[in-house]
Amino acid sequence: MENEMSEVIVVTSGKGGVGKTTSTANIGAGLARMNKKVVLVDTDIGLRNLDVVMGLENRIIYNLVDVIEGNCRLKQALIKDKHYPNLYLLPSAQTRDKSAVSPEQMIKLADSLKPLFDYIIMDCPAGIEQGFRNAIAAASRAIVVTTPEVAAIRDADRIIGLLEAAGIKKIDLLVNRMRLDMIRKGEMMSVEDVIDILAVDLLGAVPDEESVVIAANHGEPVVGNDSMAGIAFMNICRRINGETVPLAEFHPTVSFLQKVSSLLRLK
Amino acid sequence: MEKSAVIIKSNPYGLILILDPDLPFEELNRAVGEKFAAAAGFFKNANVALTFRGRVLTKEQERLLVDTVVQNSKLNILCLVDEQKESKEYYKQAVTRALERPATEEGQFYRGTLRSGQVLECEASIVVIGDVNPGAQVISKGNIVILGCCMGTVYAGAGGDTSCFAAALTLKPLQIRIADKIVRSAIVKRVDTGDYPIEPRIAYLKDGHIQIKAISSDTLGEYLG
Repeated sequence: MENEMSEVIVVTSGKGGVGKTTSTANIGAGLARMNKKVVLVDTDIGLRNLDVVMGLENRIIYNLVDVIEGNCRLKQALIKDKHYPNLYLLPSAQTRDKSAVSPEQMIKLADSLKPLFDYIIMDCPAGIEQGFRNAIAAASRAIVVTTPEVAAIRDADRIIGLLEAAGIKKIDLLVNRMRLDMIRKGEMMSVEDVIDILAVDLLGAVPDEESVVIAANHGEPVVGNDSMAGIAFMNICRRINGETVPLAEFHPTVSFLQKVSSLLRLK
Repeated sequence: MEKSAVIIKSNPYGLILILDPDLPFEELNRAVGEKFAAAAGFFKNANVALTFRGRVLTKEQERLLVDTVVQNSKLNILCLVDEQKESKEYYKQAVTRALERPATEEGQFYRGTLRSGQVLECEASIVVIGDVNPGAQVISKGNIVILGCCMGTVYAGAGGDTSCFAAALTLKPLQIRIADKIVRSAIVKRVDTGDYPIEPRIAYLKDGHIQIKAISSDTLGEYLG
């Protein structure tokens, strides 16, 4: 029974620390809120994090490598999320390294997940080595996460090139950690600047907020609360699902008082 | 081609692998795997010594080949024997010596902290002098005592012995397994500073459930009784 809607998406960036794992966890939670069946696959073998960000660290018994090596059945390794019953995690192995898995095995794994889920989201490790090749092997679609920093954008550009060379047609950009105060002062690139440089479709922009870090430390998603980051991720999920959602304008510091004072200044 | 890549010869104490000298190592390794996978039922879980012949191998390659053999069969490789000394008598000695070793060891000590991704596996009971960090594992067929903070995963009685216990000066593990039972830590909403007070605790099986109790004369009495 092939699930025709099923889509394999890789979340990647090249550079480390831009928020791939946090984005993956929130996109997964957001899609699950939209009643999609979602599995998040942590492909960062040897440096697993996604389980910690999702707060499922203590439930791991079997992992990705166990499934691939046939030590357990696929369903034994899938961990159900704490909040969303149709969100699952396939954790990575901590005691092995990237060479434990080959791209062919990842394709086989994705094929066995397709009948069970609407979205299969691969959390890619940093770098462009075997871990990256494993993560993108089965993907038909990619989300490139970057921050508005020159170094991250350089790496994102390289990654987009590699994804295109690997035949992935649909590549979207997620700009993470936007600092609106800095953009306003001209100290940080705006989303438009980033899009101009990278020339790919924008999936969404997520503001840099404390709530994201706090939620990740608690093993919770920000999706579902009314923080701006939570709303931004929810919009991203709706766009992934094919809905047209206008890009939100973030003006967090323009409060009512400031509006009044600017009006007064006009007069 | 495939058939001649590796030939297995055996004597009562060991196996000789005659390897193709020209094949690329990866192909050879795969051929060895296939050969042993096919013969897995035949070899059962015997204790053997192993010799490689017909090809010069680096230590790393030897290790990879042994891994392949172990993964594809139920053989228990006790040692590697150099080609020159492969008389039956030598095999016998090597096997007996390797078999004797674990029997004399009742417990072991490990000094140092186990970090994420590190696994300490032990046939006998083990005392860890150091911490077990989240993501690290201690697996023992016997008991586990950690003189330090245990925040990782501990698995006592890995061979199925339900009388085994795990104890630590600070017991805050992600998971504890004893024989075929498993418990995971409660989900706590906090930013983990890793700063835990020392409260010695012991985990053991009672009536099919894992009990985790502070170490006192009462709990020890209950465990022993």
